[in-house]
Amino acid sequence: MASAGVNGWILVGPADDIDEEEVIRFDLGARSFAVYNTPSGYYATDGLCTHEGAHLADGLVIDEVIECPLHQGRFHIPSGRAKSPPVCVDLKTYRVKLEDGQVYIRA
Amino acid sequence: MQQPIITDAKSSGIDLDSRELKRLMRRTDAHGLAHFFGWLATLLVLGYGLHLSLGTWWVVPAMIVFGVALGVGAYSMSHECAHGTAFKTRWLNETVFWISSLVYTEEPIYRRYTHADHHTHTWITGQDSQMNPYLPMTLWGYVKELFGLYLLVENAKVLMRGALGRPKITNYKGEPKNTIPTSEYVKIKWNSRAYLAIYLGLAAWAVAGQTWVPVIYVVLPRLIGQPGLQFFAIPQHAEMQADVTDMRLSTRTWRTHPIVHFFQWNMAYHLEHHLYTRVPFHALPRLHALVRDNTPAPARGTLAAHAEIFRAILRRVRAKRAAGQLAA
Repeated sequence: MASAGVNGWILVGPADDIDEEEVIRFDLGARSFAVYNTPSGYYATDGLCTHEGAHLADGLVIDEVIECPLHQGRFHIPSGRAKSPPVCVDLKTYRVKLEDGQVYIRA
Repeated sequence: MQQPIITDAKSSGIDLDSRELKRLMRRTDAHGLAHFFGWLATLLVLGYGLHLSLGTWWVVPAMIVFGVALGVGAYSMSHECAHGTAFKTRWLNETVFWISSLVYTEEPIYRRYTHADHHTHTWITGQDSQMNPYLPMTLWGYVKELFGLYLLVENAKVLMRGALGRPKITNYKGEPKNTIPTSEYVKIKWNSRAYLAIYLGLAAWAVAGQTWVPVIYVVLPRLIGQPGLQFFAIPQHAEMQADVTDMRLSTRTWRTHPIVHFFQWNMAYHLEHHLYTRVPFHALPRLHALVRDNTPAPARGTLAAHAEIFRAILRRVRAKRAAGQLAA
């Protein structure tokens, strides 16, 4: 659930709620985000695959790659870059910070 | 224009716990490597048997068996790699994808996009890029589907058009169906040209080398094995209900021999595969166990599935005759 932002940062929730190599869905009004915990840190991207709009939170995180659950299109999480067909449009990424064990995104 | 109809687990009334699903989704390299090298080893043994049979009538069954193993293995491996689920290591997946698609004769990027479309709109008329063109199936349509030569012709069209930089954008019925982004045209062009160069190279070897080797061990087996490949692929959707969002009605799972499961990369668990495409082939039996209380009982075997298909076709033919729509 979205919490009011401070200086543009929006609280997502406890970092411990996201296991390593996992992704959660975070909705903010009509917008949907995917928030990841990868071996290299926490990241956030648009939550819908750019191919056919499936929720990436239902996908598979392998190292720094998110694989769409629908057709296994792959994105590089830190950059949002589309890595393999059938995805070819990059994901938008958002800044993430951890503070006092909480994850914030700048959306 | 018809609204797109999306087919997935939720539209099919199946909703597994996400943590359980994520356990099933884990990839490995070991399973894919075992199947890949098992296939190669089988081809070596059967190829040797084919060699020994030359000059005798045994060449007929030897070539059929070799061709079926070649075709079924290549098709199934290419399919799993198209999903990215054959191997955990990406370069391994893409390399085996390229090789197996070369043997199967379909350009891999085109295959990946059209197959993704098939999964998005499974067995929806006018939307599924890979829907059988001979529907509703007649007896002659069943024979054409079984021989599967039209698929080889379609694959050739994909390569020819791809090589020209203008990928094929029609389905098997020739209706407009474009699933390929223009950003992929260049890669498709170079893949297609490479495949065609290799096929022409085989022909050049045969002619210049005055040898039958490429014909006996590649061309003829691949052609002769096509009906065998189709025999194991047809039950996936044939004579299941079209134009429904519930894939339990449009997609079939059937029991089969462990050896067939091995060469088919468990594609007989076809409903399970469609429900959750991100579950790799080696986890499909476990997925089947999790969903079986909410899915139809599998057909008793590949032959039983074909019997089911044949009975459905006969019922339709008899109904049409009774209605006077066909000459007696």
